[in-house]
Amino acid sequence: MATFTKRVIAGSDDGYKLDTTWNGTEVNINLGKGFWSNTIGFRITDVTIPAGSTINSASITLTQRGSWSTNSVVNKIYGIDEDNTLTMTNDPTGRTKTSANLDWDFSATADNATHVSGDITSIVQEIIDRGGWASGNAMGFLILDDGSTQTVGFDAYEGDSNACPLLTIDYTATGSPSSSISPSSSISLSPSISPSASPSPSPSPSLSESPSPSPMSPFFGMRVAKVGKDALKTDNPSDMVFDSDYGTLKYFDKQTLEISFDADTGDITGKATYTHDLGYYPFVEVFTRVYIGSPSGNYEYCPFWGAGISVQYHANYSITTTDITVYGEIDGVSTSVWNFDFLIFIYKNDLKLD
Amino acid sequence: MTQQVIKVAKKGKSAHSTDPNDFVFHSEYNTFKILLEGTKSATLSATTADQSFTQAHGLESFTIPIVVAFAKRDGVNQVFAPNSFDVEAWGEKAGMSGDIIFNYVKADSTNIILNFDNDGAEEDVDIRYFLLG
Repeated sequence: MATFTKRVIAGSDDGYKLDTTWNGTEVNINLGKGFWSNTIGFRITDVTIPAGSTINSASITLTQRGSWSTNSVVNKIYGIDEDNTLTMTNDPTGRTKTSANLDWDFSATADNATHVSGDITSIVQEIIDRGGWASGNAMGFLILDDGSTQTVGFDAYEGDSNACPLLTIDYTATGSPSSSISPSSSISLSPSISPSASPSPSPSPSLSESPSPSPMSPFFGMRVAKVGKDALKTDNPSDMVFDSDYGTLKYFDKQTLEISFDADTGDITGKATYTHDLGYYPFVEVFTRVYIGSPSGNYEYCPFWGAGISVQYHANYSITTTDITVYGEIDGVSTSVWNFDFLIFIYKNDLKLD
Repeated sequence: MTQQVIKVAKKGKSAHSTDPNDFVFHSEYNTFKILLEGTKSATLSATTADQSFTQAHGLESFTIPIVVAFAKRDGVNQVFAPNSFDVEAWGEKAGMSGDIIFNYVKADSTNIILNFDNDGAEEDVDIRYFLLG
């Protein structure tokens, strides 16, 4: 188990909304409702919790700024349901909220008193479980009024950078030891598999010649080490040709497209389209060669720009959820027929850029 | 001692083949492992060139990995790659230019660095990045 604790670290990362006005640069951030409702928004940057981690507990701490008698506030905490939420420079209250939420009702005490929320594990877990979450991303929260009749103020980053919103998370990272799994289930490269073996869904864990003691954490997964490396003695993915802790590109298809246009007739650009119909934006790599006359030249990584004596040429591509369109274009003086050949490699890795 | 291997042949191919293209996995050949995958949102200032955005990758203990990224403007259903401009406006003879140019993506020992030009109004761009090693 590990603990992540961090405050807001920039004035642009917290603020509050009073009625319809977002206040992102004041020394205080307010909750509750006087005449109008308040909503606090903040984000914590560089949250170094790996994807797939299990959240054990989490909380938000606010520090009271000033005396507010015994005013009480009735709130509801939400996470911002985004992989890597942006700054709070602009009003963030319209961003998608997590399904998980938590009621947080409390009364003001004294200036500089800290107020710690209840357990927001389910909110943090929902963000960590997003497909696009990655260690180092920013995590955001909104604290909405939920029926208050009074207001309480707290330190914003601009008011006190050592007392602004604090996020505390206890978590267990993926691959950490779990008492419910026996270390004997660990699988590493098995030299006993015959070179001619057919693919098998259950490779034999027969390399169980009692690994020597090592400071590494137990590993639960499958690794195939590079020649000269020992899958039981290293966690470094650079030492593996395969490691089930890390995803791979899922090769789907290779396609070719060609464009040809005659600059002598005024054509200087062309495009061609391949329909993949995957229904999402796939990971794509494209290579291009450009030539006049017979096919020649080397394929280059696309997009690229090139130039001759009197002509610039450019190849490009775009991806939609149904198509990949390649483009070729020249600019300058030419009377030739230009040809662009494209090699397109498509992987079934969803870019998740909806 | 003979070096042992694990091979998984493609459908219809023999595991005895000596052509690595016949395999979906072959332990004598490295595979790209996705060390890190994530998204970043960036607001591009209006009419400003050479705008860089950084994202800590937390892989300081590794050699600098291969980084690949794709960008998409908010409200535009096309994804484009580095060394490229957004091609929404690209029509016949549209000219070799666009409002937004995704100049490059690179990684140093601590950060992923993404660089854009924007000749138009302020724009939000979503980026998905992959660190492969």
